[in-house]
Amino acid sequence: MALSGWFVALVALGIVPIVITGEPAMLVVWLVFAIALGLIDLALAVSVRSLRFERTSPERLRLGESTSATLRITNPTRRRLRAIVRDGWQPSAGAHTNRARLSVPGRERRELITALTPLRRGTREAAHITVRSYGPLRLIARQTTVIVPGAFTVLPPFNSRKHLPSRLARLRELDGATSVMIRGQGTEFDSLRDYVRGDDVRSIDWRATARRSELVVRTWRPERDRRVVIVVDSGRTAAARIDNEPRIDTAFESALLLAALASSAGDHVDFIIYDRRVRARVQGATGPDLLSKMVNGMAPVQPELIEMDWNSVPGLVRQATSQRALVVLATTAESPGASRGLLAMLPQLTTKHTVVVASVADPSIVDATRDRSNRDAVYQAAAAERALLDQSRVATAINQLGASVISKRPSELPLALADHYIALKAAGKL
Amino acid sequence: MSAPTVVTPRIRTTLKRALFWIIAALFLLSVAIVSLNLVGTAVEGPPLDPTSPNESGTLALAEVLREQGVDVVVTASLNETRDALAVSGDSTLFISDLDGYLTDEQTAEASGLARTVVLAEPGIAALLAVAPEVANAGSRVGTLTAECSSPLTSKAPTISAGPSSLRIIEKNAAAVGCYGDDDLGYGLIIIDRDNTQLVLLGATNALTNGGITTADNAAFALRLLGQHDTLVWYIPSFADLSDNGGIKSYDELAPDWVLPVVWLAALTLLTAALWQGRRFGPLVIEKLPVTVRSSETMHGRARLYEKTAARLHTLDALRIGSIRRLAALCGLASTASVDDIINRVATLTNQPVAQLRSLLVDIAPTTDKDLIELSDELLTLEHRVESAIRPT
Repeated sequence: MALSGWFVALVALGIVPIVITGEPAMLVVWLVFAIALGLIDLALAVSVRSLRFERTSPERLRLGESTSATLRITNPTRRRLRAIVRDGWQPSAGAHTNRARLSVPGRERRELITALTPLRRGTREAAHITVRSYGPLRLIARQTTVIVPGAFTVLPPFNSRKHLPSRLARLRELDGATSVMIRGQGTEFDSLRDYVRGDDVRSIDWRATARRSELVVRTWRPERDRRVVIVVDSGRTAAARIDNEPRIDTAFESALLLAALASSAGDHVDFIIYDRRVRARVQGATGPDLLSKMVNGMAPVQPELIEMDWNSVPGLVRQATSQRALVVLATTAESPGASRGLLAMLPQLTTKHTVVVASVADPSIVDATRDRSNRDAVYQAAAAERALLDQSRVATAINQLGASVISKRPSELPLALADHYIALKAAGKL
Repeated sequence: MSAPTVVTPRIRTTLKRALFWIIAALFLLSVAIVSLNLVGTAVEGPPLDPTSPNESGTLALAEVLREQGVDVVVTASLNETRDALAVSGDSTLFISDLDGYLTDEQTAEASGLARTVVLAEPGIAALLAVAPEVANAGSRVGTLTAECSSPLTSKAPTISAGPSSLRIIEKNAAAVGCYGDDDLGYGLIIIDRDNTQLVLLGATNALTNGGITTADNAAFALRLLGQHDTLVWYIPSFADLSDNGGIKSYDELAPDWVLPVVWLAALTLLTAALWQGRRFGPLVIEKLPVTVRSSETMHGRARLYEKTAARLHTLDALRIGSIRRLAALCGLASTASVDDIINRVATLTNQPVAQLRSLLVDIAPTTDKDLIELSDELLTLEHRVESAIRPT
């Protein structure tokens, strides 16, 4: 049951008869009248229990896109339903308005469309629907909450896909498909072709030239069918927000760009999200299937406030592939204390694999070292210098263990990782 | 489409769930009412109130008088008093106008209504209206001794004094002072009129619940008030003011509809609160991801430096940063020694080596001002090296 503003107004209107008649008893008379009118109105309201609900919500969409969810309300009674409906989407589902006035004549059905712009990745749910059904006078309403579940998945945005065409072009340049073949780009023998002016004379295959009367050059192409294993750390440090983006989201962006590149370059990508248990794993997928499996795996994962268990990572990589692989560890390499586990584990990986540690750097630390405007800022700058020193110490340690570190701000990290991959590919180091 | 799962309970279910609490509340309420009625409460009544069990009340006296067969009637207005006295024969009227509700005319009228009229602690105005020959005297303490021959006082040689006393200022035979003397005042003055015996009583302490058992107070009180079959105990109240026609209460001044309108306003407020306070369905639960500020360690470390005034430590951290950047600017390896870097910077900026060395290594700041100046110098040095290497 819920009162409406009209009922309050009706009660307040009692002042007129009371003042006109001057009878104190008029108060009781008026109250009885108002309550009786309200109860009659309540009795005439359509019962929410008799309504039927049907929900259609989108299945999945990328973060940043908008969608709409539809709710069909059927009124099987003969009376007209006058109601305010609240569709109980979670706040981060980004419903533009969650209350709608609705009037459904008897034995008819109406559609209620809620526009949604989700604010966060993951599964967004609608728990229930609350309906306030008013009588014809709109004095007192029946209010009932009905469970009508609905859910959709919000995938990571993959904003860095805008960089994909340019990086794919770089990849094709490496490939034999283009004529600008330079010796050293790739190590796998591709084919023989006629010499064209501008080709590196060192790539002339003299034996083949001798067989034919024309100059023939060897072309090389980058190795294919290499393994790339991406391990994303979803532990404590991944929860930190840098440039208004959690580290884990930056790691996802980087992983998606790298996976898109690698799969189109013909490499096999394995993807694992791990803290102390495997939160998501994509193995053996290729082509467009890979990316869709990856985003589906990423969507519900949020960082947990636990320490990353690095000891199990070599085992996970071994499960993914027994060959030599490029292992990308998307984590944080900031302070010697927090990176101890990573540093202890790295030798096990670097003996067999090429290891890249992709770490999100905090640009505000570099900014802080420049600000010496007052006493507080100077102390802040010193602390920032100290943090930078720690970072470089960790990076040095990682390099000494045979892995490389890419530490960039969130907007630059995916691109830097992609470029690093292309450089490795070009150098034939995969 | 099947019937939906409804969360909201039906009214019947809600009532059933609340039944225990409703019954418990009713039970507690009834227990409270019953126990209050059984035990009673010591409410603060006015002094000399024959219904008050307080120390200053006179319930004990009134009860004993009733037991002795005296009809004790308590009245609150002059009209009531008049009516009460009209139906009884010879009677005693006890007037206790401590709050001064009565006008002079009303006092005068009241003091002529009964066979015996006792005026408790009369004020100046009442005395002028009723007995101009008597005036107020100071307050007295202790006990008073009867020094007059009146049947009223014969059985009670001593009574408690106070709170006030009276004095006869005009010597005439009609007024007889008792319990006290001319100098300090009397506790009791009896004036015999044509058909009324007017008793002016200053020593009302003798009548109260607290004082009735001391000295001969009980005998005095019973004799004074138990002379006749009926005792009308008149405590003037607000009603006497309106009888007078001069002053009206707010209730009487306001129109009849004001009170119901106030009630209506309160009820409107209540309904408005219910209208606005009703939640539109339950809250939707959402798990929020944890948020950690990335630079927390840095801020914490900065506060720690500041709190412990670790100026040298702070400056060293800044120096290390500057030296690393200078090494990079000069094209030296990050493993280059500080001396190499200083020599290189000295040649680039034409600054003496000693000065650079003191800035980059030796000086220890003693105050925050030093620290800020040195930090600024470090920045300036970096800028100079930068501009020396990359001339614009």
